[in-house]
Amino acid sequence: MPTQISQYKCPCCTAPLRFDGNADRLECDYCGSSYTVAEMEAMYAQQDAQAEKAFAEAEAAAEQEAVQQQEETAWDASGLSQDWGADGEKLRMLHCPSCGAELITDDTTAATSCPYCGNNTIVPGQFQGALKPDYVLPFKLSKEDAKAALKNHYKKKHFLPKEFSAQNHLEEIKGIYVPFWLFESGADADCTFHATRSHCHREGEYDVTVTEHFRVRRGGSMEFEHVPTDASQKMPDDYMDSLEPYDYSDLKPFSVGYLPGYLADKYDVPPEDCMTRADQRCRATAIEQMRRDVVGYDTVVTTGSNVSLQRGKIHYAMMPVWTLHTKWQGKDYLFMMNGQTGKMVGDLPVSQGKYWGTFAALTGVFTVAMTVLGVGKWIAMLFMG
Amino acid sequence: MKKRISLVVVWVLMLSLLCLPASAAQGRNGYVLDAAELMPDEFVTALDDQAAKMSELYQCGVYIITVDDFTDYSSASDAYGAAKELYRACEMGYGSEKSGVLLLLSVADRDYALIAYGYGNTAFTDYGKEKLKEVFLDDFKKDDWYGGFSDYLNKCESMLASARDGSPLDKGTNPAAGPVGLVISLVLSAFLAFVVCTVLKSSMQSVHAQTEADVYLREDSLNISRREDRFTYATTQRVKRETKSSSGSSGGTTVDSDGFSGSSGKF
Repeated sequence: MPTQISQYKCPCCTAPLRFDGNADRLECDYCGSSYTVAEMEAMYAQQDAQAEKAFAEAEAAAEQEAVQQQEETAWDASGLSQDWGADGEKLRMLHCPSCGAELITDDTTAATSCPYCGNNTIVPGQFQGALKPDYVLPFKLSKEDAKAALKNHYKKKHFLPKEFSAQNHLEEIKGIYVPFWLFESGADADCTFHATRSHCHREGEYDVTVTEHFRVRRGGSMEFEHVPTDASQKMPDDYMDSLEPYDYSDLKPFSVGYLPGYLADKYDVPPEDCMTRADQRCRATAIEQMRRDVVGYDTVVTTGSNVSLQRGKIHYAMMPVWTLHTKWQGKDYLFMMNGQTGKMVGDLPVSQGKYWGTFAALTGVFTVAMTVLGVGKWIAMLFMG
Repeated sequence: MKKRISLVVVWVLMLSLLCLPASAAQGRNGYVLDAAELMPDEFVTALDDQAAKMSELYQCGVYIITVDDFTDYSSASDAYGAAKELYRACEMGYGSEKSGVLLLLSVADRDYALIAYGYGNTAFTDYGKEKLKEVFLDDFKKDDWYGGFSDYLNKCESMLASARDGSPLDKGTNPAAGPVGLVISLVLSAFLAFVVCTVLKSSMQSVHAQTEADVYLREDSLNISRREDRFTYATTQRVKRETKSSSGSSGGTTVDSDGFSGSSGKF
């Protein structure tokens, strides 16, 4: 069944609004008007009832039109299957409120844009009730910033094939609000270490090294705030980890007013499935904090650790991410940029020619330098006498 | 030819003078005298021919003398002094400088002496003589006389060849150190280049999973409540310091007041 989708329209010219992270306002690209998120939320609260009524009417009209069309047409559609199989359960059909085109999205899509008219729309129901995020971190950087950051990402990469930056073209740039779980937790750690401290002195013809061995124990507690794990199966975990950290001081209470102009997904990985990753990170940090407290030794080796976690509140937040797809020599390359801090990540291809050329050149230069300085001969004499 | 004849004459005179056994084997060239009869005649001849050949080639006499007991032929208190006396008495050495090197073996108390004179002091440095000893002493310890003398002559030949090329075997002038050093430089350079390339290559990879949560540690929340540092045991390691004499020599040859260099010892 088609689902209604809503959008923020400019009260002056009715054109779709777009959230501008730099201005922290909803902007109209057509008449230049701008509004705060709070203003638009208040305005749309009044229009909700009207929208629901209009939606019901539109649905009824659409159904009537469908029946009428069915009666009028005589095409033989008996062989067409209505069954989408298992995939059908994950798909949703929407009508663009601007041009009326039918849009097919998956069941996690929360904000999208119409491929026909480019209208920015928000899918209702995805962020309602218990599914409503607690926070949103608004985009601060634009698409142009993302393009510039990608160019900058190519710089000073000695092994990057020259053709890669020259020939590859951006296939797609998307600003996405990615769902994250933010975990609050406390940790009690009790760790043991084997530490050594060495002293050297001379006794006659001998150099004597005395090594003292210690059993060191450290215990303590700490608290973690907003440990993030992405809650979207579509987004690679390692990419999401690499975009950290975010500046949480910019976190805002969630409002759909921040979404226009960007894509957004609701979570499809429950917090229970993300907990393990958060726990592992907290445990590792707890042990490391204890180890850092062991000072005054020459060597410190962890011999035992016991970390108990007190799991606290979980927050649901939407984080800004720019995704950039490029293609080169038939292979896809994915880059992502933190939409708040501008941190760009993405693995780059390595030119084998440049790699081995550099290796050979460096080997040659080092060999000449060592030969001139007599390093190799000196080492040979040490062993050969 | 005249010189060789006179050398043989002196040898014969010395044999009578030193009352060497009548059966003592000596090479026809006069470079090897086996008074202790350690080897068959054909071995002595072969060694003597080899010594003569290199002595002529490099213009530096290479000599071997074996005796039962050096005290029977010399008033010197040690093998080194005896070797010097024999060298002078037999008028050993090549040319006007009397250049040469002599290996004396005294079987009774298993003494040996290795001395050099004239150009021999240049070709056989202190370090070179140490290396020369290494090649024959292990054979003599096993009573492998021919093997030891053969190794001695072979090493002498290579050392004389190095000296003729202007780089006598000395500290820092091991001829093998050049090519080996080049190989070491190449291997080290390849390793360093690999490290640099690996660092450069790692800059191409920026996607990594996070393993810790340090940045999310709440400020001032860390509270260390237990600190125990307990001494358990101690270990001691003693390493003997290298003496200056074994590592600090800068090479060259130490020549005594008589113009000889060398040393003696037991085998």
